[in-house]
Amino acid sequence: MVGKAKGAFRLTNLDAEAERLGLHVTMALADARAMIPKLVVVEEDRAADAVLLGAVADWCDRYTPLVALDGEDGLLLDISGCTHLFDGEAALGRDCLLRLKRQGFTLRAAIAGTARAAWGVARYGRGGIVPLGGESEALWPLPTAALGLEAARQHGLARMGLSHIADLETRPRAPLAARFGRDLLDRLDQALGRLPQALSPRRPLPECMAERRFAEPLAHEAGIRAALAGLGESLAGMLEARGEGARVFEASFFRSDGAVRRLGIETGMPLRDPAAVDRLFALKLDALADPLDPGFGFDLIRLSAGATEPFAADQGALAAGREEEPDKAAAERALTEVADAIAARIGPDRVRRFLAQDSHDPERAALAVPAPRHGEMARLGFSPDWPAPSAVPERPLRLLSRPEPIEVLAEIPDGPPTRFRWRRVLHEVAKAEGPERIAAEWWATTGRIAPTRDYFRVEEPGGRRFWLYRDGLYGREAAHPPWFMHGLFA
Amino acid sequence: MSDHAVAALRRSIAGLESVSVSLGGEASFSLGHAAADAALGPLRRHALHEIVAMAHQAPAATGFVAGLIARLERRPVVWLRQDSAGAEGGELYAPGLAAFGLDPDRVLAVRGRDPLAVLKAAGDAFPHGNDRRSGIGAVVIELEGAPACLDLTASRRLVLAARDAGATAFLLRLGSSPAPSAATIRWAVSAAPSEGRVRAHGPGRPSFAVTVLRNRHGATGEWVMEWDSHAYSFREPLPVALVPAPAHRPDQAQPGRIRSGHIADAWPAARRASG
Repeated sequence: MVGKAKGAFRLTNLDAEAERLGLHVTMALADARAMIPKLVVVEEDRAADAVLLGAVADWCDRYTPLVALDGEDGLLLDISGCTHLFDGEAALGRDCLLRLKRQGFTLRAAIAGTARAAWGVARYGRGGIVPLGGESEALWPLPTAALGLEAARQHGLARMGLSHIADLETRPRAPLAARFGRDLLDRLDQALGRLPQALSPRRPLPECMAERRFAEPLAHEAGIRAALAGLGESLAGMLEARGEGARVFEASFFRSDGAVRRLGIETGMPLRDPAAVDRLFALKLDALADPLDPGFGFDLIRLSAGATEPFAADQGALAAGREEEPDKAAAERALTEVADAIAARIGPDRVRRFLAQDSHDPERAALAVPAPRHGEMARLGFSPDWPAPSAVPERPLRLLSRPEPIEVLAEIPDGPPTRFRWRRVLHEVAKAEGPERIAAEWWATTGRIAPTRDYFRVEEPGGRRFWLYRDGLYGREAAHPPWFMHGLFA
Repeated sequence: MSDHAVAALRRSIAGLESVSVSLGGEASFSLGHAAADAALGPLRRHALHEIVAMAHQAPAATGFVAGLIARLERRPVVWLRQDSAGAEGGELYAPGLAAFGLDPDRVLAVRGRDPLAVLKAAGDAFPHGNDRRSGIGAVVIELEGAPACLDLTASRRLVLAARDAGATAFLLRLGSSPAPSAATIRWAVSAAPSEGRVRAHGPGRPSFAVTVLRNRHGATGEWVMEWDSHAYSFREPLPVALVPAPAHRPDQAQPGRIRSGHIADAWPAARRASG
């Protein structure tokens, strides 16, 4: 494998055979060719590598939900508490290695009591399982690089004659920390389990999950749906035991050849009724543009629940304080149900509800939030009342997502327009009211403060009504302030 | 009393007046516009209303539909559009809906990738076993041009879905010539000049030129209607006032009306009851 570095093609990765022939990483391609004329070279593709590593990480989800990426070519799996499912860590490791080798990967793995020790043993040692408490014996013979130090510090240590981890352990700590930084000792302590090390998992950890493994891969759609329904029931049981409902559900389908497909649904209210979950997944499955391809079958299906919330059996009845409340709660439930169903079919971002914001800026006065998140956001933030109905609405029914520049003729410079040209069409103004002066919210902007806007409501002789603004105060903020079309009234 | 309390009271009065249960259990409603109501007869709820408008009249059509919904429905509304609709005609603006009389809290705004996605989502919007008292009350399907998927079968499906779910369907067709459909009634809407009695110089109440092109259960005709967002009612524009209302007065008090002799006009509900 070859990549461009420092202006020349250099070797970036080698297989075992090439290493045996004496090639090494960072060697210039020309030199390598000179040594071995028949060298097979592949240009590296970092993006594709990252995608592949991501796919392998997804696949590793079958062993533990806590999978973290390690650099560009490694994975860290936290298998604490998962090993008994596979008859012990040795069996788990064997299973993982065997399956990945069958997929065509060359790899080295280590299992140890701490993530850093496993990392060091896998990368610089011989891999394998480090027995509990045996971290120091395993690490001592390894080079200092096994702590994941950068090149400069490694050289510094080597110059002092400290080439192995054992050397560090036997030196007094204070001078080492003074010379090479506290971090060096922290790493050592993390490797030996004296300090905790946090892994950052690739995916959020589900609150609870149910999964089912199949000895014989499952390929028929009816079977898959039945399995999903069964998982929904076990998940409902777990959620019930916790007195919670979940707003995020994710089904993961692990194909026997290593591919993983995930389907997610989001709901507006906490949910645990298996029938409802099943119905939403059925909608989602029906609407898939590229159908779930079972290939040679799925050997593991998992259903996980996230964003759990306390679940009140009937929230409507509890909230019923005032006379109109039950009506309102029922309407809210109906909206949520319909929103969940449509969101499962076409995606949560396409289903929006409005949330009033405390702002004079027309663009900030209302948010259109994805329906599944509406309830949460409405509870968290302060949301003022909507404007009361008025005989002559002062806000348009439709707002252009981006104000459009218009050419305007006005009798007096800071007065309303008498005629304007929008989208190439000339409009006369029969009636105009304004200005409504809206200044930029300086506390909400960064950098340059936008000019003050003077809004006018105008009507053309035919009856179409528009919302225009002049961007900037005439003479004070701009010599010739531009005009924009912003909204359309009924 | 606060604006909102007054609005809520007016709302409940309007709700009592506009909707009546008749025609064998199927509710009907009226516009509030005396001449149009007389000609059109009771309008069907839980049916398909088709509203056609030129592309540049989209805001007027939006307003007319928002008015119909605000008048006849208190249950939630699903408003479906295409992705491309926002770029051309603007997004639905919640403060504008609120000022118009349609509570944005009960509006679900859905966007489909293409007309077919919009129609499919509309199918989900009429849920089976919809609760007639609190379920979805109205579904607006806003489409541009004449998409091939919107044929007679599709509109027939909407009619059935609306009837079964007990919700009213509004098919808003922008920039298209009338095509065959199963709609109960077809409205053509454009903006009309507003009369200047509320505001001295500025635009007045939202006004519409409404034509009924087709009506399965009554006559057709052409009217100019004004939307009164306090009474949640359409009505005839009032004759031009002899003395224009002072522009600086708040519109709720409407002193210009009383001074110019139309005392009853200050309370539109009363006027409707007598007429």
